[in-house]
Formats: sequence, C-alpha cells, structure tokens
Amino acid sequence: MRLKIASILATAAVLAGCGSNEECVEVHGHGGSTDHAHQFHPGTAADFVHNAGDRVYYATDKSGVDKAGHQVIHREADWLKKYNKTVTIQGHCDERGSVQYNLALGERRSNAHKKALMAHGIHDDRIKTVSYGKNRPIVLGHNRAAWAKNRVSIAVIDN
Amino acid sequence: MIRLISKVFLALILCFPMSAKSELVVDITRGQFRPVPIAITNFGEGAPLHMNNLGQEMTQVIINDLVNTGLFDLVDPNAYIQKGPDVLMVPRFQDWRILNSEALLGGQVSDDGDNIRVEFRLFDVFAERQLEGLAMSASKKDWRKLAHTIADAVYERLTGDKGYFRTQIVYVSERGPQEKRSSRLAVMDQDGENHHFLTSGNVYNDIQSPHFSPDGKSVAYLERGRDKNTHVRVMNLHSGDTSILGPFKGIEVSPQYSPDGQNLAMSIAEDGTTSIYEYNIPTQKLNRLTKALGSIDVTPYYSPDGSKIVYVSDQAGAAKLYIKDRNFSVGQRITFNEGSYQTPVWSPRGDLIAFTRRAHGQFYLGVMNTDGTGERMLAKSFYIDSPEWAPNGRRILYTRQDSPGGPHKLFSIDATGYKEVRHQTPEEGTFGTWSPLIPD
Repeated sequence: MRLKIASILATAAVLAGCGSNEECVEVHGHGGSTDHAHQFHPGTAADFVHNAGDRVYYATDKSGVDKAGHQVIHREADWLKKYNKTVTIQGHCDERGSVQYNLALGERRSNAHKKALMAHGIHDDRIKTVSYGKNRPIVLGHNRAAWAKNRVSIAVIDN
Repeated sequence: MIRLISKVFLALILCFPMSAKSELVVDITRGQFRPVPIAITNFGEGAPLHMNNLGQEMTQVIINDLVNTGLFDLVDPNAYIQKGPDVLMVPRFQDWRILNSEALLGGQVSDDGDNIRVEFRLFDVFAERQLEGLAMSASKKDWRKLAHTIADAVYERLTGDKGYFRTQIVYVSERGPQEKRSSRLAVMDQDGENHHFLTSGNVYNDIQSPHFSPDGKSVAYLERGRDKNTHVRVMNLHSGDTSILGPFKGIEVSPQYSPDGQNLAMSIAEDGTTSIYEYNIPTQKLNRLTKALGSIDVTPYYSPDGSKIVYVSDQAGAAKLYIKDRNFSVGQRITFNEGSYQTPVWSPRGDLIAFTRRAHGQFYLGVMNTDGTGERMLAKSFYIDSPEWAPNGRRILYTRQDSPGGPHKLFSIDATGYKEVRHQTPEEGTFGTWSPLIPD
C-alpha cells in the first residue's frame, strides 16, 4: 500500500527552477519512494525527499491533511527521529485567490503540516514555517493539474 | 509652488442674454450616465513663440486628466471655429453650441521671468456664463503641476467633487518568470508621469500590499525578510528611510493605516490562525481585534471615521466580508452570496465598499452598500486584486490579469462602472495605492 501511494505521489515530481540554492532540494521532491534508496546518502536532504517524501497536498481553499498526506508525514517523522535535523515547512497556494488571503492560507497549510509532525513526536523547536502564498508556484501552469500541485506544503531539511 | 494671482472676471458678462437653462453640472449619480462634451482650446495658441509648445503640452495634460475620469468627452479640436485667444476675450457661444460643446475651457500661457503665467476661463456654453476664471503662476519646472491644478479647478467646478489630478500612485512593479518574480516599490503621478523606483530590484525580493499613510508622507508595505516570511516595513517617502515594525511573532499580512494615521491595522498569521491586530504607532503596542480560532481574518480596512473595520473572514467556511466595531471583537457578516469575497476597501465618502469576488472561475470587481446590500459588479477578468479608492471616492484603482499567466496591469474605473482606464507602467503593475490629496 505504501509503495502504491508513493508511486502516485512520485508522479507529482516536478522540474521547477530554483528560487535560490538552498531550495534546489525541493525541485525533484515527491512523496517518497524506496526504489532507489541506495542513491542517496542517509540523513541528507535528498534522502529525506526521496525516501520519506516532502510534500502534502490540499483541496481548494482548504488546509486539512488527508490520508495520503498523513502517510507522508508519518514517514517524515520517522526520518526526523532518526536524524538530528531541523525542517522548514513552506506553505503554497494556487493562483486563484488574492495575494494577501493566500499568504494566510499558506501559513495555515504549513502549520497543519507542522502540527501533524508534532503529533508524531517531533518537537516544535525543530520545525519552522514559512508562507509563500501564491507568489512562488511550484508548478508552472494554469490548469487543474497545476493548481492541485501548487496547493501544497513542502518540508525542506535545513542545512 | 503654485500661486493664485487673481480671479478673472469677464467684464462683458452682463451683456450676454441670460438663459433660463439651469447651470451646467456633471451629474454622476444618475443611472444613465452621459459624459459632458467639453471643448478645450490650445493654451499655447497666441502665446509668445517660445511658449507655444509648453502651452500645448499643458493643454494635453489637462485633456488627459479630464477625459480619463470618464465624465467628459473632448469635442474634436479640429472642429473649433473660434481661436483660443479670442475665447479668452469674448467667447462666441453660438460657435461652440453648433459643436454641441456644453462646457468650454479657454486659456493661454505667458512668460513671467522664471515663472509661467496661465490665465483660463471655463464657460457654460448653453447658459452663456463664465463658471470659473483664474490667473495662476508657477515655476517653469512645475508646469505639469500647474496643468493638473487647472484640471482640478475645472473638475471641481463642474462636478462639485474634489479634483485628484495632483495625486500620486505607489505600486509594486514586477518582472521575471512566475516562479522567480522580482518586485520593487515604485511611484508615479496619477497620470503615469514622473515614474521612479523606490526600492532596489537587484536582489530577489517579494514586496506586497503598499498603503499610503493619510498624510501622504509614508507608505507601509510587506517585505519578505531574512526569515523568509513577510513583515511590515514603513518608508518615509521624502527621505527614503525605512524601518521594520515589530518584531511580531508570526507572519504579517495586509497592513493598512487608520484614517488618523495613529494606527496600522494588519493581520498576523500564527499557529494556523490569522487574526486582525491594531498596532498603535506612538505607543508601539499591538492590540488584537479578532479572535476566531483557526480562521483566516485578513485585509482589514477602516471606515473613514475610523470607528469600524471591514475585513475578510473564512470563519463560516468560505471567505466572506465582515464589519466590526473597532472596540468589539465580534464581526457582523455582510455578504451571503456564493463565491469568495476578498479585499474590501471602504470608500472615503463612507457610502460604498469596493471588493473583489471570485465566482464561477472568474474574478469580479464590485461595489456594495456598507450593509452588504446593493451589490454591483463593475469589471470581470481572469484575476482581479487589490482595489483602492481614489482619494475623492470616485474611481477605483485595481490589479487585473486578463489571462492565465498573462501580465498584471493597473486599471482604474469609475464607481459607476464607467470608463475603465489602463495606468501604464514600465513593468507589470500590481498593488496600486492612491495618495491622499496633496495640499499645496
């Protein structure tokens, strides 16, 4: 079951430009997969992205974490228990809303992601939240598929 | 510095037959609006040779100001029979009546050392009366301001509203691909002239939501800080100095000055709840105004008397508009239609709230009464955001994006939905904020 979900989420992997160096790790981010686990050094940001999964998707205007999201977060929590790293969760929204409202919605999504990690025992001083609102889309595109991928919170392992 | 030299009276006024017609007034409250045809003669005509061009350019500024309000139609200057300088002496009203020109503005520039002197008269053609006559002077470098002042005088005399042609617009200038936008704060005259950037565009940054202070001296806006979240920064427009408010715990959103300039309302997002706060500038104290746990309360905007705040809340499940008394924590919901209501802004006249609404996959710009009734849509597009009133409460400035991924542009429209005008910007334009009326 886990593998099946992982492969669905893996299709969400995207190629986007990097806003800055430290964010390049999110570029190939997906829901986690064990297929090529050996390619990543354990405990690295890349290892987290590929073997735990870094992103949780949301319904339009919503910030509730669904079952698939909880499974990703569960793996993230397991990973964070294994490695002494801190994480920044970025909240994003699709383009169909006001810039200001979406800053707040992005915060609510990153917070939902954070709260779910805390429920798995990750201490809140290891989790920082950021909201980009609609201003830094993860996927370029203006259709339902692109919007769905931009309604997301992404966990990024801090360097 | 513009100096009023004198009122100019028409000596011959009593010789004209008095008409029984009522005085020319631009009535903008009527449902069926019709712009008033106005003839404007070339202010450079008959001026000293070296002043011809300046006079003509000033005339063009006046024409643009008046025509862009949507309240006036320019009568084609090629059809004018009487010469400009003659209008200033004695207008031949029959020559203007046959062109169906209801208002007539005649004027002339002259050289006054370092200054320009302008004399102009405004006539009601059908009543055959002078409505205004003034002589003004200003330093030559202030010729634009002088032209705007004349347009203000004409506008005020014909509409009864304050003119706003000497105002400025501050906005966010954006460029670059979607995933890597660069944004800078910029300022320009309301007609797009004297454009310059207020912040550097050298580094990646994310500037949002600027708003003028009521005295026009400062702008509060959001800037993405080192922690990658948005925080309120205030810029003194005269010195260019800036300072960060706070620090506050959380993500700051949508700063907005109170009408007395003493407070900044804003939203702060923390722990999944976005609430409205009021920051008192003199005491630097932060006071929480809304408390709905888990809800998003954003984009607060004060009523003109400062006693109430209109804002967006999703506490009922979707984004709707609410009004609250500043001193009570509970808001009253005022919109009950479907769709997502966003970015309410209270008219400086106090009678209307402009807003954006997303419904059926489109964005609308609308106005409603302050109790939520009488909702009217003024514009529709793929995306509309950040409406702001002109300081006299006549026009609404807003951001429009016509197609997915298309450029963001600034537009304004009359509150009746008439005359949508593009405000040209060198790069993409978003988040326009209109300065208050600038005193002389």
